[in-house]
Amino acid sequence: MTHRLSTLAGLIGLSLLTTACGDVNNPGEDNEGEVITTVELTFTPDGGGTAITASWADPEDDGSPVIDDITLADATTYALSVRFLNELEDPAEDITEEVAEEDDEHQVFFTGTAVDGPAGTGSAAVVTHAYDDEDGDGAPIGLDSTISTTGAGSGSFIVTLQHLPPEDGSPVKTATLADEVASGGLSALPGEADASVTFTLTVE
Amino acid sequence: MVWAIAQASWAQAQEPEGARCDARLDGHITDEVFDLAVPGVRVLLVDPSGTEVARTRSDADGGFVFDGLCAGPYTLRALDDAHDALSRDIVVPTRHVHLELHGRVEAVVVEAARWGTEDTRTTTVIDGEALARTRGDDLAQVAATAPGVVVQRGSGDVSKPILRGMSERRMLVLFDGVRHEGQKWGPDHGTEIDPFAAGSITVARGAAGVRYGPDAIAGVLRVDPRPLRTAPGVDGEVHGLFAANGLRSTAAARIDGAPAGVPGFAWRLEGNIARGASLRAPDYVLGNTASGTYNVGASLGWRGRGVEIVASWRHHRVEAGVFYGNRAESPSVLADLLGAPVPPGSERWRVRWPIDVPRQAVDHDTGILRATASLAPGTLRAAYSIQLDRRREFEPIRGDDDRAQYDFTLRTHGLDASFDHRPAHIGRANLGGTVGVMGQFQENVYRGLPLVPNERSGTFGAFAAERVWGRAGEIEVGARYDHQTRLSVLTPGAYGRHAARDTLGPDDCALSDTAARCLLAWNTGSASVGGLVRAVPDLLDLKLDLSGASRFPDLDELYLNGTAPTLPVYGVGDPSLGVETTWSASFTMAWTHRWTTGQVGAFGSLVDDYIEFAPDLDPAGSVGVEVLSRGAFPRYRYRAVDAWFAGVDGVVEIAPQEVIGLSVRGALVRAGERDDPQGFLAGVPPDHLGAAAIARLPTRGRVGAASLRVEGDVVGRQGRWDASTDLAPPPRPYALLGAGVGLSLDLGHNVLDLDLQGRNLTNQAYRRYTSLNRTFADEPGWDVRLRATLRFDVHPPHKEHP
Repeated sequence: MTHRLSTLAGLIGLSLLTTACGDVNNPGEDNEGEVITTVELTFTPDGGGTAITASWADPEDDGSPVIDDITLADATTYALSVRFLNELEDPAEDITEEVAEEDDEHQVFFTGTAVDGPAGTGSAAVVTHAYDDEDGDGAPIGLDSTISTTGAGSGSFIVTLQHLPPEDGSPVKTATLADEVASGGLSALPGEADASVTFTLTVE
Repeated sequence: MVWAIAQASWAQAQEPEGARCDARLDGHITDEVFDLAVPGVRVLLVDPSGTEVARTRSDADGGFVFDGLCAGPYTLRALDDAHDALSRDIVVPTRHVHLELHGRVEAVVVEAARWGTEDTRTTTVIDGEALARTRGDDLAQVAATAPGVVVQRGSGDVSKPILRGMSERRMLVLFDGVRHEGQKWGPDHGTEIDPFAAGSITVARGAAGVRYGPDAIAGVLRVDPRPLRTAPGVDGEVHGLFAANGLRSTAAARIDGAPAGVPGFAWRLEGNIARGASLRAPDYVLGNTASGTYNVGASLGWRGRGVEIVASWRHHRVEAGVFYGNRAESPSVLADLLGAPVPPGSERWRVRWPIDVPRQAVDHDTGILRATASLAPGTLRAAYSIQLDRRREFEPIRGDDDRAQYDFTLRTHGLDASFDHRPAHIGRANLGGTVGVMGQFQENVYRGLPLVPNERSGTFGAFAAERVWGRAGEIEVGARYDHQTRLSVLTPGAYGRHAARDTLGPDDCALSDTAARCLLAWNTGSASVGGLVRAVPDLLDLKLDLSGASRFPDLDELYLNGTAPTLPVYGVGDPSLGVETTWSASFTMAWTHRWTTGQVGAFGSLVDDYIEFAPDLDPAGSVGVEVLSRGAFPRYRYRAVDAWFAGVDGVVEIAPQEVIGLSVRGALVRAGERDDPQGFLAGVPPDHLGAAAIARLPTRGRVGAASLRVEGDVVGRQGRWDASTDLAPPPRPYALLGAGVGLSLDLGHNVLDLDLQGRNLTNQAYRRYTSLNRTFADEPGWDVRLRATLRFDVHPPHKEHP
């Protein structure tokens, strides 16, 4: 690797002879794809109590995430809400709103060894998941759910936001996608995963 | 500047037309400027399969004769070091054929033909009917009709060529003598060239750094447009094509003119448009593989007083969907898909015309201005070229934002100049040579999701080569120097991602609040020695070439940092990578006889600092992992290893002039790491063997040049792989069957060609190792293609020779 400031100046000077040369000097990584850097989970106990929050955050999107562990109380039912953020923007962009606006093209799936539910077939399930919301066609969304603890233990808790745009002009989101994940895994889904993060969940 | 006129006439024997192969073709060649006969020109006669069926040299009066020819279409080539190479399609029988062979003005440093009658590498020329049969295919598919070239299919209806086991980034692509500069580093980035613009396509296999400059590691793919008219008149072609698989329709036209009232001027207009729906594999539709292309171009030339000036501009546009099933957004999903015989969701996919997201849209403009001056001491050539390449890739997003998620703009200015000194005579031998320089300035501006930086580069090269030739053969010696300085401008975020992985540090770049500017510079040298021995004159030639070539690293190899849309890994470039250099030996045996013709090449290459993309292993041998919000991705790095390549490829024709003939072609490549006998290289194509039986039907009246063709291809399984080179096992072997029938109708000054082809006629389900979709889906199934081409000449040249 060689540094040649004179050559650098020469290259910059030569660029003045070309069209739209200024673009090179102003690099930009526009986030037209709405990168999701942060997934926030809020577990609110039924009947009151302190809400438990946990986040998976890689605010600089450089592969160095900070992941909170989730600790829940046994024999408790929680209302779970999920938020998706892009913290590369300042202030952070709440992508959850857009997901809710396009709920016919999105669904959140909960899988992992700790989860039993429509999509989850956890081998050491300590929580049961149920969807609490649905889109206009009656298919679940997953931004709001119910999590019920079923015994002490721990395992993985995977949250996947699947973007389900139409294929060949036809909608692909159906009410049975979670069942398809349970039988065939996430690869059975159409569309693309906008986020798929793994937490460690413990029930005490 | 030179042009020549050859006039040929057919003398038929007394037997019925086409019943026997005893036709005679004679003609003669003259110099355009001096109107003098040109002796010693090598004249080749090539049949529609690209096989050379006969060769001779023009005599002292510039005349030449071929005897014992069968009826049918041929391409006549005239090669002479003091003149530009000439070629012309002819059809037999015709009682009086007037061939006007135009002079060709090549750009510059890169042109090989003017150095000698032969390239000392293994070379295949695709033109005439062989080229016409591929109309409607993209450039890689056309090039793959040459031995040693394999198609690397993208995730949709795009592809790129692989030459002797090496990817396109190690192949120099020349269009109209100018280095083609596109985003060829991407595995899903097709070659942005319109094959309809080609009058001939030459595949030169083997390193060719001296002749062609950087990137010619594996060889050169040269696309040469037809020369402009030199005689007053108008001619052209109109094509109509339809392919059943994908319901793809294509219309194309080219018109050439030279006004009688403005001597020396010539012009061309050309264009085509194609639109296809989703392709179909044998058992399901390949969802979202619809595509569309259009091309337009114009050329204007003037010649006179020993000077020729040609200006041309072309625009290439392609838009293609990305296959729905190519969706390995995480390794876990990929693992699930590996064992799936049918892509999940394929029951939903239908043959449709709309191009949905994900999709890619590419625009490429090429403008060339060249001048050639014939001076007393030699020929001076110069060319300026500008290329604008815009690539946009669209991913599914929320909202109505129509911006691309990956947006590349590449601007390239090129300037080439060379001088060919006039041949000197040393005894019975001749001495000729060329010196030249090239300069290139390039800017690559990227906007989108984190992937690669902006770049600006300057490249300079100089070379010299001399050649001695005589009746017994030729020897060529050359040397070249190239330099490149490159400035990469990274966002602070991109710099941070590199710094976190120790691939960049504060001493490597000039840092500011808005950008990191990193400067690199390289110098390379290359040399070549090549020779041709006419072991048996006009029957057997032996060629040996020892050449070097270098390649500067691409921007992804240096600075990639992120996940690619179609590959479930986290890629990390290495800014410390240097120049990749190869030293290659190529031996070619070519023979021409009435009963057999052929060309077989054997090669071996040592590549220093071969850059490969491989899993990043920790000391324990485990693959590193990058945890992103979309999942945990295995980490891949670009790394340099010393590699070797070796192999054999070629084509053999049996009875090329008889009613029934056979053609066999094949290719075999082996490659590995020099320091590790078990170290394989990724992406090397498996062995291939193809055979075709050809029936040349007798001509009847105006119906001529009819042929039937049945062909089969067998492709093996790539067994030289392991988990360090690929994520999935290579696909199993397969065999494909094809057939075709074609004929030409003589309509006076016009010719109508009709061609019907069937591909994969057994509807074989197979997967191609060199396809981005190999893990996810089968290749397209059966296809039937119909082509009609009208070649017209509304003002035939008046100049004729008795």
